[in-house]
Amino acid sequence: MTPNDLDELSKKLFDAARNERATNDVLSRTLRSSLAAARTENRSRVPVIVTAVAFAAGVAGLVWFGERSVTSTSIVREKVSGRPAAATPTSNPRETPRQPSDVPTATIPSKRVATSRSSSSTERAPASLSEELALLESARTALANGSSERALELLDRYERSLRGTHLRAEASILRLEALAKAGRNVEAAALAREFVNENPGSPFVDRARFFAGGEEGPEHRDSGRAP
Amino acid sequence: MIDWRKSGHGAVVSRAGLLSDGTGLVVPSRRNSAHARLESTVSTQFDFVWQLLRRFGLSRSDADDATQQVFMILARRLPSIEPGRERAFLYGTARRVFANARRGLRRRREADEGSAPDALSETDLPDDLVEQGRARTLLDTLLGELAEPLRRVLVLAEVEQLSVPEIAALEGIPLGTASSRLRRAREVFRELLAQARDRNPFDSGEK
Repeated sequence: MTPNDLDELSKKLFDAARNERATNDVLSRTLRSSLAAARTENRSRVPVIVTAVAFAAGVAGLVWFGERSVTSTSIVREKVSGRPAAATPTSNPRETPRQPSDVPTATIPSKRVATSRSSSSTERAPASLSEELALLESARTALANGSSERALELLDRYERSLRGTHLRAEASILRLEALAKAGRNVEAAALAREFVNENPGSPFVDRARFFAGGEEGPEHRDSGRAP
Repeated sequence: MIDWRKSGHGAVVSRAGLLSDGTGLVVPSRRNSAHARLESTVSTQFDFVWQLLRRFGLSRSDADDATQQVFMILARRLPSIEPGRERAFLYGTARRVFANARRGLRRRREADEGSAPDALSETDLPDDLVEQGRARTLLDTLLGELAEPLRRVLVLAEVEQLSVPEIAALEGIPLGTASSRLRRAREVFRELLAQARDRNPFDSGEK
């Protein structure tokens, strides 16, 4: 084997390694458990007086979230009612314009409060990872339950409202699945080709190619296998 | 420490400052920013930690658990970690967690296909993914034959794609040591790879 072949093979092995990722499920539970660990730690430092409104309601909401992953809008609705903000009467027009049932859940009520939007706020903080995870989980569940339209709505919200940055690739793949399930194969194929072109190094490229369909020319395929 | 005062309305405010979303709710700003920092650290460093643990030698599911452990340790210690030092802390913690995990578990590399995240059987996966899985299995075998200090620097360089100064900083070794160790690691790895290829010319699905 020539040195060049060795280099190429070595590169291939490490490329394969870099493409391997944990699932979102693992990321999700890592986030939850570390936030829980931080709260436990924090609780022991803060005076007892802090068992007032915000903290108690926040913990109740967080425990709820910890016991169930957010997988349906009904849970989202109940979660919202557990938030401290809901416990405080408000008629402020800058409160989020969306219906409570539409509000994506975050693990940290205080974080959500800090980033709840208004069109006049100077800088809407980028979507928190928890918000993104929660929204994608809802979309995934909707899809699993056969509601591809609902999944697409949630994905649209991901794109527009959260302007999510962390999990864009996952969102794209989920959108492909939803489009395919909805029978919108031409759109799926076009989106898939776009994804492959724009994300050649992505670990999701293979899954995207699957949706790219028979129209995909041989120049896009390594092995020439059928989709 | 946060200084708490009860306001006249029974809300809790911190001396550090109020944070309001316009609904009249005030939240402790210190806790808010601590949570934001933790979430941001998890978000940006999750892959780094997981890939370290995986290539140090843990199976997928062991790497999942170990990663979770690492971040829980970070979460408890975050207030005492200087901003900007999170990755260094995570690296040191990952090394320790890996060492513990390895002591407690049999390495299950041969049982772990290293296949696609949804863990379908090989027959269901598209060819590309099967090939990637095989490539990773070979890689892990070779990495496992390296001495740990060599394996670590190679993983940092080739998987995490860090520079030599970054590697030296994480490992806590001089720049020259990091450089020579990496060179040595690459030599040994190459040698191991050549031997493996000579034994199995058609392995790893190479085209």
